[in-house]
Amino acid sequence: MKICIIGLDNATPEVIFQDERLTNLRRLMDVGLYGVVPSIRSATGGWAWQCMLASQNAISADSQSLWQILAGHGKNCLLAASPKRLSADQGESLSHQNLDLSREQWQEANRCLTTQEWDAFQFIDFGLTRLVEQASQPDAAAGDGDTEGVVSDYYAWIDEQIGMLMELMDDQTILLVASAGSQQLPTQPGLFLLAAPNCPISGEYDGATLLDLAPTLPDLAGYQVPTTMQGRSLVAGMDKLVPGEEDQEKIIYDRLAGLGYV
Amino acid sequence: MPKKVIVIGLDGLEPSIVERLLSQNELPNLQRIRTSGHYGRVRTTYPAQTPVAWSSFVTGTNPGGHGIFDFISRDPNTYMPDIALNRFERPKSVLALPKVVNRRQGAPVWQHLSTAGVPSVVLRCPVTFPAENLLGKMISGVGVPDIRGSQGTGTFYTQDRTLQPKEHEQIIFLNSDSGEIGTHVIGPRNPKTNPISDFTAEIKVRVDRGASKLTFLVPGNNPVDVAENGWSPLIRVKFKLSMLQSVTGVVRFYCKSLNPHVEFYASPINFDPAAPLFPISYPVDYGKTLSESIGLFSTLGMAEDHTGHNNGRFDEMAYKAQCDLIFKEREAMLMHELAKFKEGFLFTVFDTPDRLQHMFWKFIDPAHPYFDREQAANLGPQVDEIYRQCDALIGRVLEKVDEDTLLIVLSDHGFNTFRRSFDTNGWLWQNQLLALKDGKKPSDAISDSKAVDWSKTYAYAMGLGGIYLNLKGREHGGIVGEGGEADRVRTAIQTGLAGAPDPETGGTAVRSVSRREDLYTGAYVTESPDLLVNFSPGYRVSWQSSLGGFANQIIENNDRRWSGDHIIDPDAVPGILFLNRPLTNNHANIIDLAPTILKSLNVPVPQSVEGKSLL
Repeated sequence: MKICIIGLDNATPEVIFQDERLTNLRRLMDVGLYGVVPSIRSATGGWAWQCMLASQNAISADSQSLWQILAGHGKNCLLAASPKRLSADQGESLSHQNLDLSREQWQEANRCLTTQEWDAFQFIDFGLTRLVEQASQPDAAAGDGDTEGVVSDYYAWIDEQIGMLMELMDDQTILLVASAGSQQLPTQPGLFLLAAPNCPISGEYDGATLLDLAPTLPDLAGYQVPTTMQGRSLVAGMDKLVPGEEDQEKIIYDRLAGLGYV
Repeated sequence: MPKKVIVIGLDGLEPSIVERLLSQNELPNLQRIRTSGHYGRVRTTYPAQTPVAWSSFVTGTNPGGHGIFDFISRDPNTYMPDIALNRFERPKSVLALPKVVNRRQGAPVWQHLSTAGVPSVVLRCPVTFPAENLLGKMISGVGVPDIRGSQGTGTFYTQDRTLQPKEHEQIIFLNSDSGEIGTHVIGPRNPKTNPISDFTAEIKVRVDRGASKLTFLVPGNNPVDVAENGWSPLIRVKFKLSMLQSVTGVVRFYCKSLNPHVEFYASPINFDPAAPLFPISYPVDYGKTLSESIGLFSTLGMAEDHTGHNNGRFDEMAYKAQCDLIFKEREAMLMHELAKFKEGFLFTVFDTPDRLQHMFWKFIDPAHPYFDREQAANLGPQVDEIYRQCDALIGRVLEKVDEDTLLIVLSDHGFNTFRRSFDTNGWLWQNQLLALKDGKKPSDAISDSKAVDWSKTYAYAMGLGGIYLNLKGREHGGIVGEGGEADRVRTAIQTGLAGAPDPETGGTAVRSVSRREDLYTGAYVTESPDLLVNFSPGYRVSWQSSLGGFANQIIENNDRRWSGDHIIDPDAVPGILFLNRPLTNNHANIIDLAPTILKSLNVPVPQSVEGKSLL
């Protein structure tokens, strides 16, 4: 099976799990597993993603990320990320610049997914981080006034992008959407939404940690969970589902029901 | 040069009835158009079916140019029937949304108009689901399913636990018949459970025998009173699909009886025009804004509930009352747009005359096997009445027609009686062209298409008049070689079936059998049946053969309430055509209207359009 990770840096569980406008994320919650994960306080300096992907509390020279492990098994991994900061001194407002940059990056991610061969794919969006940083700038020129509104609109825009991406997934893909917390607000927890056709459980998952996410992916994909990972697969020891075929004949006759002529 | 073209489609209006009523001065408004412009008969398509004919109307091509040959298509891999108007694409994964695709090909007239910058308003044209992108607005018509994905599945509520569901319906047993009864409405299917289950919405029904009414308590709505033998307005009902998702639909309740027991009926759940599961309008929010202006409206393609009536859940007059409600909804839709119409193309199809005639024809045909003189006296006049209703509608449209407006009123086909059904598959079996497994006879395999032995079958019937060869390389278990062998099988069927007699009446059941290459040209011809049976008036393909099964006898009486039809030799069921301009060509074909509309609006007629302008 293929693995696709979408990182939403700085996304908060309050918005992701409670904003009813985010219909695609809600659809993902509906079919999958989701929950809040505590942030890793020691993981400063933007290391939280590395910790998550290596499933290790602290990153050392010997740490191996999920991607290195998969690549070691001959898997084709594509990684992409958007820049964390905007370049200064451009005429356009920073929120527009931010969206333009994100649009470009998501289009590129979309292009990679549709045109390239891949077994594992990762894309981390830093658009929210850029907006948070911009709002914290001392000079007023950086802001567009209604920061809350801009951030809220950005979540809605991200939801649309994820919806488009969900349409590209086939029945052999595991999708993880996650936030590893916030570098700017170290107490802000992370979150995850995980869907896979063979995932044996669904609904809200209480008690997961950031380190449990990486081991869950190879477990669902049918690979050995690397022993270097400190977390535990959320579906460890569970029988994976075998997707069933719907009763096609019943569906067809249902479609003709009420035609009158038959 | 007109800058506006208004087309009113009156589905199934029969020329012989129109002409009789005109001669009796009972259609004054249509007469006005005739006097100043034109009236004549218009040639329909092979076969004479709503989705086929209207698709030819909008594209200006024969069915080979748009690919709609029948309500029903077949899958050559499985020999299974399916709805031919649109298809649902199964999502690739649990994450993707299902998609629906319109199967009509070719370019409709509004596409050419949009390219030329001329706006269109298209209301309830068949085979426009999902709604199409155009310069203007659209509400989809025939082809839109109900919330369960069917063409209309209603629910009957009763305390009588001996009742079994009839054709395409659900039954819910009530636990009491007084005070406030708790029950539910059946919503979308839940494919995630095994076996597939249903999403439901709880409702309560208050019984008031003293006032002869039921009061429906549907969450989110004010209480709705429905008198005995009456219909409720459309009511919005919400189905919770999960903790996070819900969907709404609209339903109409019918109060059948209060004594001795409470019985009522819920129409098929229509998509909510304001929040449909799939796009039924363009722009996407047009259904919402329209419903805010004119109130909730039915969205189901075949909105008139002939199935509930066919099953006897409500009688003829209740069916007529429901038809009237739908006719009024459609008129409100049309008038709302007509009031704002300044330029371009405005097109609305009224399905009600077709749906009413299907169910009421036996009341005007003394030779129908189930003709009843008393019923005919009471109900027969309703057929003329729907024609008068259409005429009154045209009168209200005429008030909005000025010198700059070309007005076209037409039907897609006429109508005739349906007395006897012809089991084409039974005939193929009798003529050793179709074999059944285990030595079965058709009477051992009624409605059972699975009984066919494909390794010994040369041809099979499916749909409303089509016959397919069991062709090698095309059908999964094909045995007939292309070329000479296929030609011999087709010739055998053509010569054997044409003129097939009805031994009981002495009549002829089948006038002729056409080869597809003699009927169609264009890119989609290979998707059509290999042969088309042109039945004589009074006959139609059997209910069972239409889905690939078998009837008890090759020709038998049609015992359903559905007693009129039009899927016979198209020469016998032309449509009607009125224009408020004189014509230069008096031999109109339904494919001539698209170029007529384009030419009137000064838009070049593309080469793909086969018809010729009538002006």
